[in-house]
Amino acid sequence: MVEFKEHQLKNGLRLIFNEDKTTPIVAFNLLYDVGSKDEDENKTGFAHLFEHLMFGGSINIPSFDGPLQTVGGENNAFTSTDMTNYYITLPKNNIETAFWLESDRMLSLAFSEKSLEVQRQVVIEEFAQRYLNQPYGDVYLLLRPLAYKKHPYRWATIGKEIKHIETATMEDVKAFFKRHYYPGNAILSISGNLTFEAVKELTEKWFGDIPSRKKELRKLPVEPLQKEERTLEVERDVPLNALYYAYHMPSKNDADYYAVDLLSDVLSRGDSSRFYERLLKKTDLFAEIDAFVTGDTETGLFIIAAKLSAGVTYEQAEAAIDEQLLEIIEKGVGDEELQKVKNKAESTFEFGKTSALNKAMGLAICALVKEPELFNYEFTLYDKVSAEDIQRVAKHVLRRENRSKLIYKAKKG
Amino acid sequence: MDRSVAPSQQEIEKIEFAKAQTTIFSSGIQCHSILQDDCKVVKMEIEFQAGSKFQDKALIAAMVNNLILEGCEKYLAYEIASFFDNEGAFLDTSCSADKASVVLHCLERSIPKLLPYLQEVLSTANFPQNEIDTYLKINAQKFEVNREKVGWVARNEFMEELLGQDHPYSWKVSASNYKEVQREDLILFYNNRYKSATFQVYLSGKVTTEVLQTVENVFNQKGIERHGVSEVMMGNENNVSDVKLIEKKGAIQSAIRLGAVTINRSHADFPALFVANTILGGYFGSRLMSNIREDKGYTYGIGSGVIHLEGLSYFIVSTEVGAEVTAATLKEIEFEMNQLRNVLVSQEELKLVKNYILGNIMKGFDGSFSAMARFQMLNHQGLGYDYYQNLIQEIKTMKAEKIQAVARTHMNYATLKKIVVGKL
Repeated sequence: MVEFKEHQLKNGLRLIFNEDKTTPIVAFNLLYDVGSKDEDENKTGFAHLFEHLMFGGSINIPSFDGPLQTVGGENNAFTSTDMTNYYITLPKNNIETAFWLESDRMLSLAFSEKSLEVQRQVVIEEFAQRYLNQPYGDVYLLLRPLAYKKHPYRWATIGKEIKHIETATMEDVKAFFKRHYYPGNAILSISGNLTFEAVKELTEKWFGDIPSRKKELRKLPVEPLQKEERTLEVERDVPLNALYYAYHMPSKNDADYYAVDLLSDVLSRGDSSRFYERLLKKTDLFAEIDAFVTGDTETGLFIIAAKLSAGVTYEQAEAAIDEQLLEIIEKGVGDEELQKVKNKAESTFEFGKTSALNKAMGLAICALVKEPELFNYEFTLYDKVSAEDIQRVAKHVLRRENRSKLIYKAKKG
Repeated sequence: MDRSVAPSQQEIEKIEFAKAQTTIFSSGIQCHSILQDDCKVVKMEIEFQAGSKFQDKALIAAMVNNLILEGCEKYLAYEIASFFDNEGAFLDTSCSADKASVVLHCLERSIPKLLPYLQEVLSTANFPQNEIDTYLKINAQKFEVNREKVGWVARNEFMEELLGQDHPYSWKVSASNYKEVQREDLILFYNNRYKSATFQVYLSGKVTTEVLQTVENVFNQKGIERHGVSEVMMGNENNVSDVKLIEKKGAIQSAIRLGAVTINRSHADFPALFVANTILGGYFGSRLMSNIREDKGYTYGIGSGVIHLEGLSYFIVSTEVGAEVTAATLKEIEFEMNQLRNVLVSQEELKLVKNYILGNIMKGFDGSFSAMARFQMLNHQGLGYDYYQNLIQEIKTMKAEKIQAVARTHMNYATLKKIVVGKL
């Protein structure tokens, strides 16, 4: 049980605090409720580019990293489809420096042209390193727009194409900041050996005078129900043929999310899972095979990803996978098999509570998805899933007309 | 309130460590533990002297390490995997140049059930031929994928370039290796380095006295004489070196790896080298990052570090950059290394880096799992906790002149071994 206290400022900023007496550092996590799903379809990759720009100096402080490193702190950030998250760890005696730096960049950025030019180039290199210069690196750039036709999950967080990053203007940057970076759109979560009173006081002192803005209601386009299977075939310079299935699945706020997540675990988590034991080891069909959920807040994807052994045809590979899916739809899972994946989920949650940074980040993300309490009770949502639930969601999700298929062929010669 | 003024800063005076307790069992096995009472989980790492430097043939150390969980006298691979999966436990293996480990993550309540079983698996592994075949099949195909990645190729080549072909740290993998492995090779290596050899146990998390007692009861078996294992000797020197280019057609980025053998953590110059390396490329605000990423945008990331193996330490610079700016990047790395040798570091930068390092050491003790990783490093290097106390004292009083002197002795671009995979 991770204990925490909450407080909300008049300007809308939410504070969550966990007292951890055992750690020498403080974890300071500031999450903004903005992800790539909030982007304009003609300006994709913006939330992530913006995350880079947040380190280019703020209105009163020319450099973010320098002053933090000077007091022994470290920081990083990530952007996903659903959120942009900034986190700092630093010695507890210097906690105020984190408040000073983060509150100033919430107040306003410096918006320097040089920073935009350089970060644009850095993000282009990131695009190249992670998505273009890697074998199979562009799979999700292809699979997302195949599975989604309307919803903004149809582009990856890095963006649809490099061009959107190349053409971003300072006006775009300023507009994005104004729209998404304000107290009411943020959650501050802190874990460390401090008192709630001290943390509350510092939060009021540094964030209290930042002007509030009315939180915009998010109106995302609804993804129309998929009615028939979609297929895309590409050829790339890779050593092995690969195959990807993507199925639409329930959102994180739907009780069935947890059943679908466990379904993917039954299929492929651990060396005793069905795919690993029956397909990877007992047949010569695959070099790799996995099933997993994307874990998005809104309706995400259930994905099966496989690399085919040399000489294996797509017909053979698909038949073998389909046979496994059919079996789980028709016969469901055994109680012992279900208990196994629940036990895995339980130990994963327990390991997630063993450092200040994990706790601060976990509480903030749970607060965004639903409520911070979720961090403590999320496992019970897995524990409630029955064998019947798994079979029911398997039947519902693993339908052919709910599937997008990517045939990713190795170029010959 | 003036937001342009930083809040008052407090110096880091002292760092409190969560220290490991060591027990030596009657059979000679060393068991190290750090208790974290506020959690429900335990991490147990069993570490053997069985890294790749001890093998006679490529892949053997990694394969024995991996396949040790894939079958024993009583149980099949599937039964073993199911046993640990059923308890919600995670059983993994890892193999480096020096050591090989089996790592168990589990709920504390599962310990009494899992440990006797694990002991049985580790002491009676039998390397079934079908598991060997499956491993080779899957990994030969993974190798084909990896050799398309410039960063992977550069890593695979680096140690040979640094130390020469015949050095025990120079093992690299090629496609033909997957056809040369015999079951007897694996069994021989297993018998020598796992089955009856001594090992060390590292425990962190909810390590109660009951857990410790279980570990001792299970692993400290009477009648088994555990023998020590032989070591290998190292040696090398740095000469002026040109760039070795491994061309890859159509590469969008090039991978760059530069390196040289250097001093170890016990050397009197080490604290200054540690600071010099941090300034050069050891943190996000480093000179290489500021220049090559933040000023020029050539790369998503660049870093330098000092890596310590047993009996050999080396300095390395590593990055992946836009293919067309490969040569320009090399020039900037040379420039930054020369700056360290030619110009005294400013007081402001020095202060920043000192505090950054001290904060980073502190962060290394956030939770028992991190604290145990620090202890494990000390143990590998034959150091005690006084290493940190000394390092902290040295860093707090470090002068710019000392850093320059050490950069002049230990950081020379001309003598770095240089690999580029991609285009030049």
